[in-house]
Amino acid sequence: MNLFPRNPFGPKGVDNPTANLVGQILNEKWKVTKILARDETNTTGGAFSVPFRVVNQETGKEAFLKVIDLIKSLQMYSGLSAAEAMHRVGENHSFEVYLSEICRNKRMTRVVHAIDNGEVPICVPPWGELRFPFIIFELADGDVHTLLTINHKLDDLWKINTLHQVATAVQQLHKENIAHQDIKRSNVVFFGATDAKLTDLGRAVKRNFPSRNDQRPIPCQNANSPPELLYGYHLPDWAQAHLATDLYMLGNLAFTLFFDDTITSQMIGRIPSDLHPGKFAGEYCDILPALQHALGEIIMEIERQIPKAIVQEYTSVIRWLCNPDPLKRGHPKDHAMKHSNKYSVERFISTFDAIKRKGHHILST
Amino acid sequence: MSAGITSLPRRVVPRWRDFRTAVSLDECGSITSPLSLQEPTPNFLKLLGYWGKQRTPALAAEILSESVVTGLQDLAIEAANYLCSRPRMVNPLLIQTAKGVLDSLKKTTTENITDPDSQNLSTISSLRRALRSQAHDPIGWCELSRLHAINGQKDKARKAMLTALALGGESRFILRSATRCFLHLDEPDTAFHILQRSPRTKKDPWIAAAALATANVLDKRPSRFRESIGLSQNNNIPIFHRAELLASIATIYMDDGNSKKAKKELLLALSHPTENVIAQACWASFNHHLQVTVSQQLLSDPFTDEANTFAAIKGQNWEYALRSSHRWLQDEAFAGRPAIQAAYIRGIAYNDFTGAAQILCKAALVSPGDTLIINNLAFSLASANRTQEARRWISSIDIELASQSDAICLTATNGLIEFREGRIESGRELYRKAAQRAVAGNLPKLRASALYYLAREEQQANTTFAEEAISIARGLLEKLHDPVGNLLLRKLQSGPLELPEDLIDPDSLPTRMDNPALIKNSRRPDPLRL
Repeated sequence: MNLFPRNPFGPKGVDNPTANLVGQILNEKWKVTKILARDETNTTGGAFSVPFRVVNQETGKEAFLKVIDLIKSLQMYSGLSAAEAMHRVGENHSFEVYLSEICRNKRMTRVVHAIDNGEVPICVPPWGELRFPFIIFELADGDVHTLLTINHKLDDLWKINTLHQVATAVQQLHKENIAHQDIKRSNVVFFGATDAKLTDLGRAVKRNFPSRNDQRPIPCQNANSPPELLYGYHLPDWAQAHLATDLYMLGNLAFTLFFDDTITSQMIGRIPSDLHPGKFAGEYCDILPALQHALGEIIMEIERQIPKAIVQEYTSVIRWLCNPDPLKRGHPKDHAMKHSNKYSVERFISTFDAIKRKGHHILST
Repeated sequence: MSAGITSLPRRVVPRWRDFRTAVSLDECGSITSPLSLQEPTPNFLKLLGYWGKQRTPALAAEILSESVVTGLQDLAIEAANYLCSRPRMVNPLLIQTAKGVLDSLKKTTTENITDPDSQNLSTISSLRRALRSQAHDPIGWCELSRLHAINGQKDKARKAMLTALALGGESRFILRSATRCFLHLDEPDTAFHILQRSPRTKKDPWIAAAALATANVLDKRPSRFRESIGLSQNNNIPIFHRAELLASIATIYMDDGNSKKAKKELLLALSHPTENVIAQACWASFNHHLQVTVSQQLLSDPFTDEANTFAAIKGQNWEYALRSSHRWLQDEAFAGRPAIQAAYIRGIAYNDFTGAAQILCKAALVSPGDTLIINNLAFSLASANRTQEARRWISSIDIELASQSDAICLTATNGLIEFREGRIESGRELYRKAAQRAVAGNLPKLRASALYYLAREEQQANTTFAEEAISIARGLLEKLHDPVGNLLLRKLQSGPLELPEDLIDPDSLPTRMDNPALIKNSRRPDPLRL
């Protein structure tokens, strides 16, 4: 017998009550000063959270508050009992806090740090007081997605610099056996003009630390996903499944920053529609040659659009990071060495650094 | 004397086409039931909600990407149109995707089929250039191999196919293409070995069919015959995906003389066949007199040109047979059989030996050393009084090593050359020798053909034996009750058929895509009870 009532937050649930948080003090030091209106040009991030600006009353330092939108989150679990749904939301929040603490303790310089966390009681009539989980992060000046929407023509060197820093963030996470799983433009935030960091560990997974995120068939937006996940091809090995996904997403970010489209969409758009995900139910090995062929076509086309000085390095990065075969993804030198990490980001960091230096050199001469 | 391919053995060996055409014909489709189309994700719905409020290139791009990836292109029409109308603000790659989305909603399946002539656009050099930067593209290597095969560069075709196999040897498309490639390269053992080693042979009926056909070519009893029968009876797999396997099993039963079982398997395959199965059914009814009906509707399917060639010959519609054989030749430009058939019809029905020689000359370059091609080429050249060229070609064949039927043809062709060079006695002797060998081998069709051509030469040389030879040939042809026999009889009475003007130059025939009406409007044979 189900002792708990059905989840009341179905599709026709209550309006979001978190809007009343402004003015409240959290954890006795953070004053909520402003709800950050979600920029409608930023369509991709934070579907299940509400963003606020907070200020530390002791130091006056501003920070970013992410309150889990309990209502939307529970709506997502509308098939479960309220108790089970609350439990899941709590679990996810605790896991994100746990990962954020690792990032802070390990001083990951390219990952946005969580400063504080907790729960805030909010009255949700007619169900009474519910405890909404929150996390407070460093306050960034904006995210790359929004920036690119506003300023369509960003400097290529700035893009490469951003990629270098994101690759470093990925390496820092991988070193602690954490895979981000949702690397995209809106999850890259910047501090000042050139300082970029990776944020949002809401979909991240950790090796040997099972979480609900491990069970997500596609951890990110479909358009950013590696193709193997769209076709339901999941590798049992943790590194092959998750680190390879991060590598693909890093490559996809490199592509998106320059071409406004995702490489997944470009690849799938080039294969016959009968073979598209959702239509094709066969084995991934039957699709793979078509995707490899499509990647070849894409690379031939982008060779014409990328500045000549960096075209070789850039196309190599795309070719190796976005290889539709997760078993071959990554730097070929790492795959050639017997005992090396096949999914190491190290060489790609060096490549982005080399491109950056080359760009600086060209600009200065 | 020339020979066609209708009486040669036929196996359901996989076709070797470009990838896009293979996909359009559903040869790469999944054997399990297709997934239902995905529902739009909450995020996609959110994007569409924003689109209702504001329109920006960035938002349109996101909607487009999500729609392509989830197969919900119809939800992105507005976004695609929006992007196409702003080419200066949007990256060309994105415009291309937008156009692709708009086109995909207009196109039908058959429109996706690659025009065989457009394949020339993807030339070997451009493919090589592409593969230099994207060496991990098995489809590229496979296509390169096919283009080399069309050019008659067998070694290069082999190397490229081995690379394709190393890169994508688990893919059905690559495995099937490799099978056909190695059969074309006269390496059936290699094809057999590849298929035996592949784990897919046990579970994929398309690959199991290729394995059975290859074993059949090698005259080996397939080691997994029982497993293949089990796979062919798996009702969880749609019949279309089992059709080639069923037809392969039927062929083995036919070879064993078990017509009842063969017919049962073939009829099941014909309930949802591939064009290869339709061709096999037409061939079986022609050669094994298997009572299977191939409906007119099936013969209208795309790429059923081989089947239509068989059907039209059986229906004695020679013009349609010639047109179909030419389209078949365009489809399988690397293969010898369509070239032999197209040239054979040209020669026997229309006395167009120059056109026939033109086709066979190309075929001889693509398939060097093929005895039947060389014999028919020498026959066509000699019939066009180009005996020196004919002798050069035929001298490259060692008659002792040829099969029984090829040896009969070669002997008769040597007789023809002798006749045309004025050595009538010697020519007559060779024709008689050919006829005697046919009698010894119990090959009445070849005997009748040899004596028909002897009569033709006696008549042309105006010898005293001409009337007697014609009378003997007529008697034998009347007993054959065979479409070719009937044609030759008719020629004895009223001369050759008149070649339609648009068919005169074999090199300038319109392709399938130049004139789609070519297929629709040409007179098809009446519905056949084959």
